[in-house]
Amino acid sequence: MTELKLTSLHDVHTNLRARMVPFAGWEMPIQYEGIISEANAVRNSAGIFDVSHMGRVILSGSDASGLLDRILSVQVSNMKIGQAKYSVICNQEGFIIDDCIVYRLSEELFLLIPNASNRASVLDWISKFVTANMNINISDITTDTAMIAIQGPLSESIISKAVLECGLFQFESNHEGNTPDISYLKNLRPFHITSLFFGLPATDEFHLFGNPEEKSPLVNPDGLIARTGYTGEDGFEIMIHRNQSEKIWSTLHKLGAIPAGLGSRDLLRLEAGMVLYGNDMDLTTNPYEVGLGRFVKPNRSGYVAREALLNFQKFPTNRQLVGFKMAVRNIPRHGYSIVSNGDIIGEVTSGVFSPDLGISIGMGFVQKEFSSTGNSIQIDIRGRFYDAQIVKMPFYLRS
Amino acid sequence: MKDYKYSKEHEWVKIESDQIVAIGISPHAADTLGDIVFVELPEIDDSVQQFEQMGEIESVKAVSDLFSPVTGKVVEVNNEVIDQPEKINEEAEAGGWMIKVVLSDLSELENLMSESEYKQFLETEE
Repeated sequence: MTELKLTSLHDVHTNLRARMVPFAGWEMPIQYEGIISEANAVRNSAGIFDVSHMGRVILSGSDASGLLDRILSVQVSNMKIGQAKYSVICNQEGFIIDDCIVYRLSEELFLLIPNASNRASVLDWISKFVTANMNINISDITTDTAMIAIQGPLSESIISKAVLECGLFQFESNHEGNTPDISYLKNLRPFHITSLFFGLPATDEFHLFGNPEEKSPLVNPDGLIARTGYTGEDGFEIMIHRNQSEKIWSTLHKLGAIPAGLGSRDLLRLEAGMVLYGNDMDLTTNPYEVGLGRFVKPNRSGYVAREALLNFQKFPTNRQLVGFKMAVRNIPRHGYSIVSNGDIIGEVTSGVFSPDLGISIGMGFVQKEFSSTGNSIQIDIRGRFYDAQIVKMPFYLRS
Repeated sequence: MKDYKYSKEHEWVKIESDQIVAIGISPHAADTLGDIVFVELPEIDDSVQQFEQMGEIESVKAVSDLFSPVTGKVVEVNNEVIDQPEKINEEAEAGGWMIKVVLSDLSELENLMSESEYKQFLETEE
């Protein structure tokens, strides 16, 4: 067995008496105080998650946007600097290798965030399309850096305090003793990213996010902060050198953000109707089956999955991922059968007890003819059938 | 000394009076399960058998069977833990009790562990 990788916050988690579990090759906190209380903290105030296990890959050079256009399901070359897009990565057969977020940091500089479990296969897939005459540099900065997500309605005010009262970081590189300008934070729109600076003398550890030859506001910062997340709440994801992670975590914690683990993250993403690679989709899934059609723009010349995806559009498969609400608190779990009139019509892919709704909810594949909203289905839980109803996702929408 | 006995399946028994015992799960079990969201318990007048399944308990992490630590007839069910299963996490050995049973055979209690024996058992289990 290979040894589990530890994030730079590992000691912080064990000091907080987190319950640690193996996850995608990393030892990660699944919970601190309790999954439900942590989920409630994110819904009502703010939670902090160590998401350093997720991949961070920098692509730079004049051919970077063209290469990403070939590989990602959305167009990258038309993105504005500072913008982020959610995307899937499909193979030539149109099946999903991973889902990811891509950030444009400058004309020729991109940050890609694949899932922890797929980082190697994504890097491997990208490398297949790199040729010797291309001007591109691909740098996997995952283990040198850390990523902390702060999620929940109080996220912005907690970061503001961290900047104004604790001097945690700034948003300008040439800051000289003036009050930090937090308008950068307030003006950071969802799915956008901006730079952060620690105001320290530059050392090598702060050149991970950049390309020194380029001129752009997002080139060569000490870190990055994006208004993105995986919980359905407002929130930010902060990427910094691993040496800076403990200071950021403890400051946000001290200012009221509650440590939250992978358990609550899974609950929150499911309530928000977001699919999870490995649970709800894998290498046998095409994006249309799991409701990701709007993140797929196949009709672009040079896109590797173009033919296969246009074909799936024309001739859809006979299964659809749906959301469903149980009539009871029993949790539908991955792999349980979905039943209608005694016949198996599909399979559960994810399920949780939703504290927000007071009942259990899930996602699963069903045959197309059973997939209409409002349809009654049953879930086979350990040999007993429990009633459920197909509903529109998300299950939870922030007010 | 607490008046509790424990089973290897992490249920506790508390002798309430003559032959009536209360049954629940140990704080260790509740903590291991994490947030409990659902319990299914036998009903009043149902019979339960020592070390046989009497119900189900589901937490955010997993679903498991509940085993009765004694043989007897159910005389009371704690509806509070059915409505608010989180009560079991909060006070496993008090308000988190599940059912009360009239014992069929007092000597069965000898098949259970004392508190100190259970603590030792937990250490060896880890």
